[in-house]
Amino acid sequence: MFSNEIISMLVEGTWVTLYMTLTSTFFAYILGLPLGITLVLTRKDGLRPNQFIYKIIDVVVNIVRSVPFLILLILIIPFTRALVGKSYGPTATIVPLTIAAAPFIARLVESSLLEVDQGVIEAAQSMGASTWHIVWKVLLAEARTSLIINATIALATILGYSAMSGTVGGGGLGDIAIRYGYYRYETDIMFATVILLILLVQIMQYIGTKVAKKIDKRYR
Amino acid sequence: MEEYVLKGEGLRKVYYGEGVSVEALKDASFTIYPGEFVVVLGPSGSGKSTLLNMLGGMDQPSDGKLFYVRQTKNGPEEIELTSLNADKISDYRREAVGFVFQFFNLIPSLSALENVELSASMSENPRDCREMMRLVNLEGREKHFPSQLSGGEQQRVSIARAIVKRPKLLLCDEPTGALDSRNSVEVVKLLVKVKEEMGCPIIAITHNAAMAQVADRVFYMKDGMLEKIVTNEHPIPVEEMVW
Repeated sequence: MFSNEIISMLVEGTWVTLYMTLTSTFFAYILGLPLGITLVLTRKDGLRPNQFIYKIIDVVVNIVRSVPFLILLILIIPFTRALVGKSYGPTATIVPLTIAAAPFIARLVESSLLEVDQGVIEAAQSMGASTWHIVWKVLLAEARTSLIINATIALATILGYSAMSGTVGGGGLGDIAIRYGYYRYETDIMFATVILLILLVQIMQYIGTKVAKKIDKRYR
Repeated sequence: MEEYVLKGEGLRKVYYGEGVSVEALKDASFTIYPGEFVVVLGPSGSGKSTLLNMLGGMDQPSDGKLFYVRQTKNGPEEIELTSLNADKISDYRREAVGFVFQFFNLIPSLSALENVELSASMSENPRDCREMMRLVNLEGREKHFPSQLSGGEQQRVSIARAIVKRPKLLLCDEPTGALDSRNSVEVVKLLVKVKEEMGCPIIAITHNAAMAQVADRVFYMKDGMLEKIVTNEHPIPVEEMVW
């Protein structure tokens, strides 16, 4: 159906999409995880209430989340160029992807940690556990199933963003869909990219659900 | 120095809500002595939990003073808990207090033994975790998760978790509140056994008067007041307790 050239382009596009998605998710977690933990700790009924810090993070997270990804992508081009030397291509796309996803991940982490039973936290406090001990041994350990499920949601969302970046030469499957499907009316190539994107989401979801089930000891 | 473990002087707690304030504890004064079993009895809302949380360093009084006598190499040292900062209070909880909760509050993703080990990991001189499991009659259930244990078994794990760190006092918040009568009796038996074996005072709050039969002293509370303290001249053996 497709020439070898097209097939190898689709395969490469899939790898590039995976590279952008996984790398951005990794960096977004490096930023988003501590932000999410800080949101939980500093909230009014948190372990270390601090309205000032909470409000600042809360507002910044809301602002970044309010900017549509495509606009953010264009808005921060000077920053992206300063950081990686160019504003297009897969590696450059990781910068806006990370910045767009980090606040989203902070919110996901926050909601996962807030699910942890207050009684369990109280028990850890009553043992004299330090805040760090409670975060590490109780909050993150207890919320790990929810964190993994939410990480799967984050991956699928970032995959969607990465495809969007194709409109401005971001690379990957989105880029192929735009160039061939939109500009050249080669609908079959566009369908192929869509199927590949669907497959990627399915695989991520499958792995995420499996891992979450495996580490969930509560219902064994 | 008078030999005691805890001493409260005029303890008072006021909670402030939106436009309203509630005085949950009014001018409570008392002393807790080594090795005694104190039952705090009162209906819901009488201030029992507020008092217990204060004794355990989980809450600070609005007024009044709370003293704790720490045994050191150089003899007893009196510490005013109400003057300590949050970190020092956390140290007090780690060193001195064992807590048992009504709904057990075990960590669901850790096995029974791991729950005990987590508590032991915070202590400088913990007891053997497996030995604690034997003490609470749960030998062989070490690898079970809380969801695989009955309410009574979970409460026994939570007692093991509380005593593994050699607490200087054991605080129990309605320890039988979520249990049927058979398991309740088992838990009270276990508390008495712990008191005899470890010699640390046990303070248990309850609204079930049956537990008072085995106590050395009973604190009666009503509407935030510590109404009276009654010494039980002849506490009955736990085997004869009628639930």
